[in-house]
Amino acid sequence: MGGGAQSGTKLRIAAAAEDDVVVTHEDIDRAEDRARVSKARTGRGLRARAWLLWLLIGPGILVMLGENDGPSMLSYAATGAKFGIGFFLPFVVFTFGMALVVQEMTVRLGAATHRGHAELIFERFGPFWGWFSMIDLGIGNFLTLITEFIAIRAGLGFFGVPPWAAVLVALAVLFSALLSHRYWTWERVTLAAAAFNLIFVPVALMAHPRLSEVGHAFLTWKPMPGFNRDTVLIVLSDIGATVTPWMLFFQQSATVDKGMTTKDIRFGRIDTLLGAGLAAAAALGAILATAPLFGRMSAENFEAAQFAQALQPLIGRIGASLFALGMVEAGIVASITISTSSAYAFGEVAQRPHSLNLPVNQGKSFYAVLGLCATAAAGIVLIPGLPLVFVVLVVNVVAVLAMPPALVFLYLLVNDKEIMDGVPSPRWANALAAIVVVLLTAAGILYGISVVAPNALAWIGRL
Amino acid sequence: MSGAEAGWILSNLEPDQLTLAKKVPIARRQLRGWQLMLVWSLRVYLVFMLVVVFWQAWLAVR
Repeated sequence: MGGGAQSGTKLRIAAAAEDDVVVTHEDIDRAEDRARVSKARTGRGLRARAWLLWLLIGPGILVMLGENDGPSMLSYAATGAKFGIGFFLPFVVFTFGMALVVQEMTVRLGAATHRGHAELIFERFGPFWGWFSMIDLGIGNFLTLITEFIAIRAGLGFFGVPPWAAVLVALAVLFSALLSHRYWTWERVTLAAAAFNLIFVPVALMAHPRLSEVGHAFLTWKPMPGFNRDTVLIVLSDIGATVTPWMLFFQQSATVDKGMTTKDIRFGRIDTLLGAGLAAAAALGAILATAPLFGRMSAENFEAAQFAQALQPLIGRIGASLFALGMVEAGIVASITISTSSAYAFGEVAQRPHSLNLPVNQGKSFYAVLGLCATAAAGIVLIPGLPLVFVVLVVNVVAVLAMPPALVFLYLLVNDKEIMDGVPSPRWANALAAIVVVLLTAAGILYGISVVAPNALAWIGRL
Repeated sequence: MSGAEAGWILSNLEPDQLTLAKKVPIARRQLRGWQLMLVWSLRVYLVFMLVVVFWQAWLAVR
């Protein structure tokens, strides 16, 4: 059945048996996707399982590689340049473990309820808490979107592309991904773009890291950095580079839009695990790539082009160019996923149609919010004289601080037996989620202490 | 749309995956005492910490 051939906003159909059912264009497209999954499920053997996995991957990989965005890659680059190879290599892998725990919950929640995260918070806990969550998400998403365009501008600036042209290229890619008005096509186009995040791996190899040092770092978590304000800031920044509120909203909404059901949860977990693995590889690549700058460059100023320029004498023009291109890719993919996350959340809260399967005339508000968020953030980057470094400095820290309140709602929802449709949350998942909330809150408090009472931080370090 | 096509769509989607089914609101639940205390505590924590962060970043930029 050709979903695209259906016209009109809604088609009233007589269901095979008794009741009248209203089916939308969105339903028809989703049914096509689900039919392919059902057919793949009947197959036997490794090839059939691989095909099923191919059909069901998407939201997990996209959310993890999407979070390897401009500010995140800059944070990893600053980590390598400032601290070299040591504690932060295993620490970054640990933060992806935290992201995995949290994101797995959104897969279960989306597959069991078929509702987005914003929608569930509003309906289950009421508009008071719903609006708080929306304000957190809105501020965080918009600040992050600005930093994506800063990264794109800086990355393309390395090749001499003027800022206005860099921003236009990014917006053109973002809108091109939407042209099909089909979730499946959008997902595959964005996945293809996200694969380029792994460009940081060959860049790392060009830096010729010593395998013995890397192995030692993973085994011992050493050398440890000094316990001071700089370390706390980079710890917080690296955590904010892997776990942020938009990821919860995005993956749950994408899981719903993809049409995943409780039968697909296992594959949703594999998808998220794959995403975490790939994103961790790219993050470690960025740290290892900039590690040769350790002791040679001040990493106070988080500018992508500066890292690429500083790396050029060490890894050559090609390596530096790949690094700059990696920053551009990180910014473009994240601008796509984050603006989509905002559009999903708006549609869920305003009860307007919200799906990437919608034609433009049926999803005007969805596409308008998506386009406006991206265009406004891109426009801000072009205004001369704005203190954009301010945004880059705060964005990852704000993400870490906003996570504990968001995680508590996620925890309550995923343990809500009335909506979870016979998919109970395992104890181990609840325990891990509680540990993540405690760790994130503690990291935030430590940062607060480092700002308000730096001497107290030194005292804690001696304990 | 024929009945066969309609049946095909319905056989491939779970009932609550239909767009129309998603318009049915989910019942509200009340937060318990400890849950309310936890979400309020984290809200206060977030607001306080955001003030600290923006103040610090503003000083750094100036």
